[in-house]
Amino acid sequence: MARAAPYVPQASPEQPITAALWNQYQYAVGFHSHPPTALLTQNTLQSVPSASATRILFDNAIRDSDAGHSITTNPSRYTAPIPGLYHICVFGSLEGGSAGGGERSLAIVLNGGAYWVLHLLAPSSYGAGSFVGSAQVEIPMNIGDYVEASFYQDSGTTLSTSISYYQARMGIRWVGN
Amino acid sequence: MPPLYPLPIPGRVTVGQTGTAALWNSQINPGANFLGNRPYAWLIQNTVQSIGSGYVPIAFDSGFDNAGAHSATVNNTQYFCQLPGVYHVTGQVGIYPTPSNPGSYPWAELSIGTNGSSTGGLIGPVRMYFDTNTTYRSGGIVQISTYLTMSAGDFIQLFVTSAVAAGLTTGQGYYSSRMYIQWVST
Repeated sequence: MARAAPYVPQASPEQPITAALWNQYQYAVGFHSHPPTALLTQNTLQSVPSASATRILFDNAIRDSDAGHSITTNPSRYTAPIPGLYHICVFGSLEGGSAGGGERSLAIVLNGGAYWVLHLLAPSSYGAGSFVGSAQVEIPMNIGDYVEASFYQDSGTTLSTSISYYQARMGIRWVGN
Repeated sequence: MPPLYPLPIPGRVTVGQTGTAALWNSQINPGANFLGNRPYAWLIQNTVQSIGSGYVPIAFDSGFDNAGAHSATVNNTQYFCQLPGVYHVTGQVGIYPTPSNPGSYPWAELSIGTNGSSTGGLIGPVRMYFDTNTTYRSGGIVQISTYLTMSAGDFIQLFVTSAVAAGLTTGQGYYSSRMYIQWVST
C-alpha cells in the first residue's frame, strides 16, 4: 500500500493532543527522514536510432523505496507513488556514429510528452558524434504521473547507449508536497 | 498550501508544562507542515531575448512560484528570497539557432549570480560552443546548478555572456530558458 504524503493537523481545545495527532506528527518526521527515492541504472546496451526520440530503459534499480519503477513493465518510467515535488537527475551517453546531423540531447520528459529540461549539444565538425549529457529538474507530480529520460540524435545512423562508467542513470527524490 | 512565514522553529517546553492545543498549533503543526511546503519556483522564458554584450540577466515571464518571490512583469530576472537559508538553484539556457556569422571562436556561458553581481560573484560558468561550420547550426542547451546561502531580500539571477558579436538570442519551446529554485534548509 502506498504511503500517504505527510500532513499534521491542528489540535482542538476540546481534545488537545490525541494519540492519532501525535502519531501523525511521528509519521511526518519519519517520512521527511525517509522520503521516496530511487536510483535507476541501465546495464544493457540500447540502440538509439537517428531522428527518433528514444526513452532510456532502466533494467536495474539500486534503490526504489516506494516501488515507483519496474524493470519489466515500462522500464523507462518512474511513476510517482505519492503526490509532491520530485527532484530528478539523469545522466547518459551516446557512442558511435559520425558528426552528422545537428543535435545530440538528453531530456527529462513528464507523462510521455512534456519536456521539462534538456541538455543539448550540436555535434562538432572537429570530432565524432558521441555525446555525454546530464540534466536535473524539480517537477510537481500527482500520483500516476511518470518521468522518463530521453535521447535524441540525428546523425543519420543508429547510435548506442553506454554501460560501465558511462551507463545511464536516473535519480529521483521526493522533496515536498 | 503556501509556505509558512516566518520559518517555524519549535521552542522547548518546561518540566510540568501541559501539552495544549495552543502549544501544538503554534509549535508542532507549523514546523511539521512547513517541511513539506518549502518555498519553490520554476520559472520559464516564453519570449525570445537578445543577448548583447556583457553579462545579460535572463528574463522569466512565466512559471510557478509558491512564495511570492518572483514577478513576471517587474524585475522579472530576479527571484527574491522570502526566507533566509540555503537554496538549491538550477538554471538552464537554450540558444537557437547558432548565429549566421558566429565568428571564429564562438561560445556562450551560463552563470548564476546573486544580488546583481555580474562579475566576480558568479557561480559557474558552463560554456557551450557553436560550430563555425554552419552546416551544424542547432545551437545548444546547457544547465548549471548550485546551493546558495541567502538572506531574506537577496535575489538570484541567471546570466549569459558570449563571444558572439551580434545576433545571439535565447531559444523557445524545448530551448526555453528556465530556472528552478527550492529552499532546502536554514
